[in-house]
Amino acid sequence: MLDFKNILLIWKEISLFEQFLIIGGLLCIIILLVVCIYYIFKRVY
Amino acid sequence: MGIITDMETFMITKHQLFCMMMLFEIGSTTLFALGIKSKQDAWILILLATFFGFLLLLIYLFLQKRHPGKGIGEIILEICGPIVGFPIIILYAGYFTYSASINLRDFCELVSITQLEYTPVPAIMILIIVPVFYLLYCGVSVLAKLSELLFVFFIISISLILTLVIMSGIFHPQFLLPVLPNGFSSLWNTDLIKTIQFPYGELVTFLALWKLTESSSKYIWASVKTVAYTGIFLVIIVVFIICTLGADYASVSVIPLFKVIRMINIKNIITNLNSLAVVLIFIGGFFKICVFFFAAILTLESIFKMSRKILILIIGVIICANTLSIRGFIQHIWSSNFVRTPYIHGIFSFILPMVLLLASIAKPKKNRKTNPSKINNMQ
Repeated sequence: MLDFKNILLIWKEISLFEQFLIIGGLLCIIILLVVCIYYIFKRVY
Repeated sequence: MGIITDMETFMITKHQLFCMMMLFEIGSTTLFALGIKSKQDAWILILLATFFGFLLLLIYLFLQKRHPGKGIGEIILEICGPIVGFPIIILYAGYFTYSASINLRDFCELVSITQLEYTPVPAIMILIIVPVFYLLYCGVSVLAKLSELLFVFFIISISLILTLVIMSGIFHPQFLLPVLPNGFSSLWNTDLIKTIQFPYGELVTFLALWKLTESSSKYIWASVKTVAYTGIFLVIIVVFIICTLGADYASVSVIPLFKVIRMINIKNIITNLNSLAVVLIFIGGFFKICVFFFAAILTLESIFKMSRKILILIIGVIICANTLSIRGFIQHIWSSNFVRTPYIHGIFSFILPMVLLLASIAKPKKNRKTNPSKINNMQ
């Protein structure tokens, strides 16, 4: 389902809105994970 | 102005929420034969997906339970604060807007293929979006009451159609055999993940709407019942599609349920039920567009304090623009299989809610009461 071989080809074909949602979504996951680690760190110490 | 005020005071009852969720879940699933890559075992795959759908629902319910009376926007703000929360809320509103536009395109294509072959897609789109605008302007009370009305009509009509399929003599239960010819492991394919994400993953939309229900315990049972009944409904529909068309033909058919209904012929008297089929399929789609649209409005309202009428207009324009930006039906189907399901639905309906729940659990609780030992130390 996740076609990593043709990911560049797929990227070129999708709309700007879809690109925005995918990039934004991935960034948000990273930010939220950082927030999670920060909260856990705050709890422990 | 009175209509808009109604949106803020009206609370959705348990039955209305159940009808809304059922119509939303069934919505565009009637356009496709879910899990058909597994051929005649598609119904087992749907049962399996329903089980995982329950687990996905648990994540959403748990998140809502930790933040009672709050919509997805407020939940994100409470977990991450305004600076980190702002872009996530914008993205979720974008996801709901995008989903509404994709559904709008789905149903424009349905009408274009089946009924209005020579009418351009923009004209069909305007015909669909104007009632959606009006419904949302009227408020959530109208949306909830309409769902009760349409749900009864939908269930009676679909039962009638399925009875007519059996009476026509086109229903062949032997098409379901052999059961699991390649073993149970053959069901663990990409189609299973797709069937979990669509329709069960789309329940994430209700994180924006559950706050409008009468009490916290009511939305839980309505949601659990919805997933169970959706599973049963989807199994029945896919069994009828396979038993009528055969698994091979069903897997290449554009709108399989429509093909099944077209085949109904009782003594040349009851035939040509195409229009009823389109109306039925259309009800679900129309409702789905409304719910996605409304969820986008509610999500944005948590960060932008502006009139709902302006928000309806802005989101409506974005939906229309995105619907028209899709070049054609082939690109639309390609995008659905290779972009929307694996990447976009995967991120917004599965990974982000999971991480949000993790952050919500990890977040230290604020001590509202002043610690007596601290006071002593200060003295």
